[in-house]
Amino acid sequence: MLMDLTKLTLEQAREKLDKKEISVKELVKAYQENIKSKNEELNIFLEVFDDIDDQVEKAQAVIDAGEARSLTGIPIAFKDNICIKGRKASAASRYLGEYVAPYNATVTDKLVPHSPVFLGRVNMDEFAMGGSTENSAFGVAKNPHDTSRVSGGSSGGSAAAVAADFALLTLGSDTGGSVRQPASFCGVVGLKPTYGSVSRHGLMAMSSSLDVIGPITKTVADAKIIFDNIKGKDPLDSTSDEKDPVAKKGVYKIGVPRSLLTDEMDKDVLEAFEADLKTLQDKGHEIVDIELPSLKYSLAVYYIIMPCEVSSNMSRYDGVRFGAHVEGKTLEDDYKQSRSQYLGEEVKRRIMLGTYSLSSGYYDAYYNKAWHVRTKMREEVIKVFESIDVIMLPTSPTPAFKIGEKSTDPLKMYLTDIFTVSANLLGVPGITVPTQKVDRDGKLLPVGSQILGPHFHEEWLFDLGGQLE
Amino acid sequence: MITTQELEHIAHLARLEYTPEALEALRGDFENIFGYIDQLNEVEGSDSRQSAEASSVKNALREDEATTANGEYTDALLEAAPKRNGNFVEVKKIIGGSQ
Repeated sequence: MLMDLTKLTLEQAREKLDKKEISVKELVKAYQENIKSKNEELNIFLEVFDDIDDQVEKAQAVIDAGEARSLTGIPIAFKDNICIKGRKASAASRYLGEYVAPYNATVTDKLVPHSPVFLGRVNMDEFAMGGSTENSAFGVAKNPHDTSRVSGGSSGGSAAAVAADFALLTLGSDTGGSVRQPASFCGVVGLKPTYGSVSRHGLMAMSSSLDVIGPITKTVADAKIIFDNIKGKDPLDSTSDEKDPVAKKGVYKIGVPRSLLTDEMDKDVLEAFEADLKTLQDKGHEIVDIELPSLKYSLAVYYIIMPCEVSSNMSRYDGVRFGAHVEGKTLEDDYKQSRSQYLGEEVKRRIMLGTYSLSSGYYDAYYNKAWHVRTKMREEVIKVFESIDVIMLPTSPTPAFKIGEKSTDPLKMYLTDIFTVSANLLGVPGITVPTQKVDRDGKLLPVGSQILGPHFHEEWLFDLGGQLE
Repeated sequence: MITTQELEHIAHLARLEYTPEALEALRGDFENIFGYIDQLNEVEGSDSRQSAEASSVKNALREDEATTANGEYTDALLEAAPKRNGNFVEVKKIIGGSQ
């Protein structure tokens, strides 16, 4: 019987490639066939690169020379906001459209020496703003488990690509849950690393105090391999940092902030979460209730700080430096027309929210207030980590929702981030692991649980996450 | 309550333009979103300074040394500009004459 090569994990594929049981060409071809037959329907890849054969040949030569590294010959894809020199990067925006990256992101520089096979660039919400990919200028990326539903966002394409076996693994970016929520919706593993542990250089900036690049994979072990290969201090990112990996523990004390699990949550998701807690308890870990009184404000804090940073970061899209240009009567007119005609509604909405919060007379009431609460949250969490090891929460309050269900109500869409934004505000790492499935209209939809750890304690997340698989 | 006039001003600051209908819809979004955000008023204080304990990130500056060859990226960066004139990015004249 023929083996389906797209079912191999990174570890398994590595072994088969190195033992010459399979060739890079065979492995990549299996993925290419899935893309060819299903991408039109799922809309995951925005572009499939035309030099894949050359990349395959090069990777095979590296393996044949006995110089293979973790990712040599592995078919991967990046979210469309991570730069690969000489290739298009549009952040799924009409504004950038045909923009070609003039340099590599640091994560690209770290992976290129492995000779992986870059298959293409995958769909996302425009400039990473959204929770469903419905804000992509190039249409929604559908959920492979039920095509009437969203893949989540903003790294929906990255998560759906792994779930649909379009790529063995992908990179996404996580500002308020953009790796974890789509990974949960698509039934794959997603890691949001500690803020600063992975360089942001070459990632199109959305909210600079929150953004981080993270892997989306089939297994927790694979996520660890990618994280180990992309992390590290980078002179090109002044907020990057590194620490030695912490030692694993035999028994973990897991804190659950129960007051956040309200009646508004989907009942099945809550049940799935309780089952995951039970699994870990049965393995000997200790589950305790914790109180984090400020955490309930995390979404309100997030929807001030993030748009403020967005409004500042998006000022570079002025019709002058790159991307779209609309000719107006004056230079100011050029700015206004280029931005208004080529940026999407959600991007503009966030620029407006941020500009308002930062404007004279409102700065104290909003931006300073938000930072005040953010600091309180951090203090509470640092304190709680003195008595427990990790925090567990559901990844999303619901399974994947229907396309169009929330797209007309921004606040309703924002509320889907409720369990994920706190990790970004705190800068701590979080991993989502697919554990259960819930039935919706006769279709089984994946649900994930999330583990948050102290800064630079990814090793604990891999250890515990692996026990949940 | 956010007025239409205020929003027009914010749009100008953000260098964006809205039709009257779009601005009205945005006003509704603002009411909803800031209505939700207002729960922050339950928390006392608005001191935005971070305590050393709460700040996990420190800015790490590198030496101010050139790491790329002179001109290495010039062409690629200029090429990205929608209007290029030789080694310049072209914009409209903003001083002197009629604007």
